[in-house]
Amino acid sequence: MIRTLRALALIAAALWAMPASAATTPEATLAAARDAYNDGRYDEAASLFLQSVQAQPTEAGLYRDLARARSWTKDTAGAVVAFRLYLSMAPGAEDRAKVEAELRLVQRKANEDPPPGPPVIAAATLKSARAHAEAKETPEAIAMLEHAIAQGYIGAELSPARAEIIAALSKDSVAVVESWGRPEQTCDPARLTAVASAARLALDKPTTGLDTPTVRQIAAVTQGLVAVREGRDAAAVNLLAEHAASSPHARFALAVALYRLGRADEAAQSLSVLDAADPRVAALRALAERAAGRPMTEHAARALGIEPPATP
Amino acid sequence: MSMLVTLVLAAPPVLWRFPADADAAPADVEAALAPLAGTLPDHLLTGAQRAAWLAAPAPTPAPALPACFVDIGACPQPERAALEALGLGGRIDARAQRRDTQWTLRLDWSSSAQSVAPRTLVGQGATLQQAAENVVAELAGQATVRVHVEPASAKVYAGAVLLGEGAGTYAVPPGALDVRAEAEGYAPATVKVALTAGDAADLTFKLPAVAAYVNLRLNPESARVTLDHLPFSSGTGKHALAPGAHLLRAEAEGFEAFERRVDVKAGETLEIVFDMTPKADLSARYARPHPDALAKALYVRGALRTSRVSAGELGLGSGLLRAEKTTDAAEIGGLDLGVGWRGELLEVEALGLAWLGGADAHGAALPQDRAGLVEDLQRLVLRPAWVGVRWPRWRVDPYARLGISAVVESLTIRGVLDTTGGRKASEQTHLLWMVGGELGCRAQIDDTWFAQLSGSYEGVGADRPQASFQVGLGWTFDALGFAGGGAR
Repeated sequence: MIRTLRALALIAAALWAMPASAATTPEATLAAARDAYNDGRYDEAASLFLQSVQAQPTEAGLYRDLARARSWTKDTAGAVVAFRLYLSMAPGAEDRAKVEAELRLVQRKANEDPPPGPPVIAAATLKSARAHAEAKETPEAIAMLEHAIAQGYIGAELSPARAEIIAALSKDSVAVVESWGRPEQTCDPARLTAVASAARLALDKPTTGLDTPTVRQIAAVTQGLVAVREGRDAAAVNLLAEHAASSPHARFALAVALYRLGRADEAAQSLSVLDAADPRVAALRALAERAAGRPMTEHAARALGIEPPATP
Repeated sequence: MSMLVTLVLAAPPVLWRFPADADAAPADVEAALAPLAGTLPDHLLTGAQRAAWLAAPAPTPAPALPACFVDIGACPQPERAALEALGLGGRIDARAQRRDTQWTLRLDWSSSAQSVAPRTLVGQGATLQQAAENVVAELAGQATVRVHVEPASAKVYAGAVLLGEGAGTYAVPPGALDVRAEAEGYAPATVKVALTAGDAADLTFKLPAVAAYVNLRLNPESARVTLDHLPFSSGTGKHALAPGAHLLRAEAEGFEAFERRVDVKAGETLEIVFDMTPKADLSARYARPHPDALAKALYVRGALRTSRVSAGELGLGSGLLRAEKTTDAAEIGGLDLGVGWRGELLEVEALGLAWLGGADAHGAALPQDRAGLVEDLQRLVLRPAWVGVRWPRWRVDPYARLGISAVVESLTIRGVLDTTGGRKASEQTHLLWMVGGELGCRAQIDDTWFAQLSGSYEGVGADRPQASFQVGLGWTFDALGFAGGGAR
């Protein structure tokens, strides 16, 4: 009996002490960090505040919270870094004098005096991520961003780094989606796949903070176009349905997939908002209307460049 | 080779249009042609035929969409893709022109297949009706072949005449024909057909690829290789691929990705070596020697050398010009040459030779406590078979060597014999044996050249030892059966 109770107690203690890794939103992570700090679980608090700082790198107050949590752990040098970043990001803070005093105290405890600014090695990694983004090497940029975050990077530069990676991905995506279905040449399938993979990679690395609506849309549209090309129409519909409005190419591809799945009415509906200047749009609309049991005359005549026959 | 020949009775319908940019009104042109519609069974020539076709129910199963609707294949003329999507074999634009008393009826025929070149048929006559009859007679007198071909880049010929590229419906003259499909990297195929006017033949060509090969050598062996961004191979060896231009890319954990563009012809085998460079991670980089540092086994080197000769026992000369010892150290400099062998961890400098001179006059102790000078100090240093070890890490190659040196030293002993400054001199040459060692570091610049920086000490067990510093360059090579182990 005693052994059972002890086991239950251990399980309860383990659950109590378990880091709030399940917390997926920044707000939940921050709340868990504050709870851990107030309960004296400083290692856990420092870990969670680090996640919060990395998720919201322009929130100065989080750096102070991280520094205070770290000052109670062995990572006093890390506390110095975080205090300094707080003071540089909030030079007019009301608690500046108090925080400076805390910084002096923790500096005396620290065995080393880290250089000013973000952690040096992680900052170099982040710089490399930005260089890759500038060179349009998005997968490498994502990997380096993830590496910098894993190395414990903190600092406001995380925000522009993320923005630059997303911008590079968006630029690539716009170019490749715009080239999809153009009359003169096909879009480069390798490039389309590469953009889809890069967007997927960004979404698969939650610590990078790149899981944004823009990246989700890029991933869905590019993967959807790949699926249409490969004849995986059901997958294409799932991917493109939500994002068809983002591009006429995505909408046309969605209509193709719907038509091939026998969902002619939805295909016709999807095409109804597209400009039928491209005969392919009018031809597909005609086919969809006919498959849906309606006359295709008007749209087929437009696709073929002929006058529709007079209605009897 | 796979071919399928099917004679079919009905070709896909051809849509007729009557543009308004002609001398005759579209309605007049259509009216002139309408009586002839019966001779063109697969044509939508009249308004009634077009209306009936437009109102027809959807065929079951629904026709497949053209490839360029899903961006597989370019679509330079989308209107022709629309024809194909709607199940039409082509489109004819009919225009009539009048010159003096002559009518010309021109038919511009566009196939629904993008690859088939448009063509024009012309009929002439004194009346529009006559011109129509003439041009329709020519149109009806032709046969067609509908070609399905893989790969899509294949060129299709009727005899020696190029019909077009890829799949399409091609008009051909009636009679016996050799229809041939050819594509680079594929075995050509020919099929004989005999067609009468109005016939349509379905021809399917699946040209077998004549494979090309790459013989991959991977370093590291664990590298994964992609071909045109798709997984290709994960091992050294010979692999088949389609002829043509490709992008090969090797990736391995801890190594820089390596790309090669290749253009391989059918039946050809390309040797591809992916000798990948470790990533610029310092710990990984310095975990092993760079291949260049081990590329070649033999070297010759040259260096500028400066040496400091310590003061010490000399014991040269005789009488009043016998110098028992030097009282000052001397600086000498010169050139140091060597030739040797380097293994992965061991090295032997077979022969080192240095000439050093240029020393300032320095003090010597002469008998009866008189002051003397040593001038023109020169040393010729011969170092046979110095043996050592090396430990190359990436391109940095530290080493240490030990051996015996034979030093031929020449100098002039000059004594101050009286207070007026009169001097006498005695020139001396003698041989010294020294035990010495050298510590240095080479930087391997490429697979041939290295730079060298080293310090040495010679004089263990000898008087007046010398400490030296060298900086120089070396050139590596393979010869006499000695070869390096790190060649790319």
